[in-house]
Amino acid sequence: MPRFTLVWAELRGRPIRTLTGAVSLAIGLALFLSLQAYGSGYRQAARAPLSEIGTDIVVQREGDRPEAFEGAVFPHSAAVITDDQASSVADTDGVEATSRALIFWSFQGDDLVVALGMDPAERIGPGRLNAGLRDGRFLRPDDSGVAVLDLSYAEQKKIRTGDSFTVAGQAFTVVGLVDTSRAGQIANANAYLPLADAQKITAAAGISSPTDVNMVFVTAQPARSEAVAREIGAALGRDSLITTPQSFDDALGSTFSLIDRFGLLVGIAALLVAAAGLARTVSANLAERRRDVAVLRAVGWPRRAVTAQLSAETTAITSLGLVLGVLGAMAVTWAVNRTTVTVPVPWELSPTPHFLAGGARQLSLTVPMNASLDALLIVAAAVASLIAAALVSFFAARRAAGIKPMEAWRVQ
Amino acid sequence: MSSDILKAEGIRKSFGKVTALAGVDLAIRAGEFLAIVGRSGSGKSTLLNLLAGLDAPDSGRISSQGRVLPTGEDELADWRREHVGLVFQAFHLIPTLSALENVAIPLYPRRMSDTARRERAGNCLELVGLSHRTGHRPGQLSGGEQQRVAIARALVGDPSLVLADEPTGNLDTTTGQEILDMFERLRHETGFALVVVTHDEKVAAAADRQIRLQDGVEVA
Repeated sequence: MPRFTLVWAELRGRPIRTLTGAVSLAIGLALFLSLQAYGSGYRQAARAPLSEIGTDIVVQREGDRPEAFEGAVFPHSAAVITDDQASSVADTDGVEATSRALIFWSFQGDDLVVALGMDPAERIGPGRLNAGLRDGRFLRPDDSGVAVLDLSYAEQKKIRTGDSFTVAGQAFTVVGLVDTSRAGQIANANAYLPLADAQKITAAAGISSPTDVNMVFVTAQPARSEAVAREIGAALGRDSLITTPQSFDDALGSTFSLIDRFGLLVGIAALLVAAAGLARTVSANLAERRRDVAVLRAVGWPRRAVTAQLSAETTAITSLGLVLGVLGAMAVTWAVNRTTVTVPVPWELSPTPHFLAGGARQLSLTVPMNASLDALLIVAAAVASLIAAALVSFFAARRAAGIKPMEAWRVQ
Repeated sequence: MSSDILKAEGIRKSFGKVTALAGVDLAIRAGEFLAIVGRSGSGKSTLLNLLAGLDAPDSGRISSQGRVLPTGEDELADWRREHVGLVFQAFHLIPTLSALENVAIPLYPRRMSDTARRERAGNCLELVGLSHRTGHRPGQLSGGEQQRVAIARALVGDPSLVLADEPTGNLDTTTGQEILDMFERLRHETGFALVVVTHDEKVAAAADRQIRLQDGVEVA
């Protein structure tokens, strides 16, 4: 058994060597861990548009470009999804919950309103927008003839809660104003209406039946999310538009590729630095302690006791390096989380008529980074470092412990 | 049973083409003070190292209380720990440890509590007059004090034999005499046999018996 009082005395007695060894390992480990945290944080940030409205998959169908821009019109990225089709989405194996919505453009003279019919009772999809309520109240399940307006749109149009607001010739009372910027601009609209009212408007315009929708928000079992998306896509046919977290990964593909490659290269370099630091610590320790090892052997320490003692010293330095490395990675992660990342949102998720200024432009969302250290990765790195240190130091120490005192002193 | 606590017979040792010892016979009796004297290069330090089991002779036999010394490194270490105390000219203290920890070093492989170990080491430091310097590291001690710590370390295992290689060689005359007086006092108090390698005739004169080496052989 190593003598821990002697280990502590040795580490304390050679502070420069102790800190050099620990810090070199810590730098490598901190770089490795924080790069992984940065990569995962970036991916998580990229998925914020969906997670903000509590959904995993957005289901739409691509339609034809409207022939005329008059009255109620569906964007060509939001063709009709029938009640049966929406039900089949809900019945897909692996789907946990769904929420339906109906988005349309309402052309009123020179004015355009993007309106979204929704079921406020649903806990996923646009129903989550109530978290952004800034004035009045949000829609209620039994509402009819009322609307909630987007805050910035209302400010632009100088509309306040209690005012009357017209969509496709039908009057609605504005009961609340909501800030939708946090919702990733998915299903972004000027006016949010009860789903039944929206369905009546589009049915009256002859572009849908009273039970049709054109957006279905889906939550799925986490492990099956992508498989569920593929199954829904196959069921709806070639004109289906399925948005998943992978869609955002694909949209940021080049960025992720860069991060992954950079992370891999720097991660490998960091691990090499850590390994070199560890090896240097072990060799420096043993070189410096050759004379001390001779003393221990001369006064009667068995070889195994010397080996255990030297190994314990290296393991202690490694442990210190691990603690410093994790603390360093936590500091880097904290700093990274003070930054933001801009995520592109596909046009079809927030369709604006292409002939309006910026209408065809891809929207983007700026969200704070949310990097976090992977506990499993920390444990794995710690275990790997300790095992490597224990093995390296054991064999090196065993060799060092075999020296004959007279030989060591003769060299000195 | 023989009263010789250590006996060497026909010891030979060479380093390459240089013959350090060319057949030395020696017996150390319990409690005696034996001086091994000779000029530099005469083989006296080599003989001491062989007696301590720190090196192995090319031929010949070394026995302790009738038993031949073991050949295994760990068995030799065990034997040294139980029977021998070593004092060196260069002190050989561990620089990162306090005086108390240095003295306690030989006790760590033994099964004893920390408290008992510290108490035993503290007592030995008291024997050499350094009870007020227990927490000091070697670098904070004078040469004489470092040698006294080394003597305390040699005695902490309660050995029957103390082997000292030029113990006053790095000290001034006054301090060297103090160390010598201390050895004599402790030898009478605890009864260990003392073998000192020296080229200092004054040190040799204090011994009960002398062995004089020249070119690796004993001379009259």
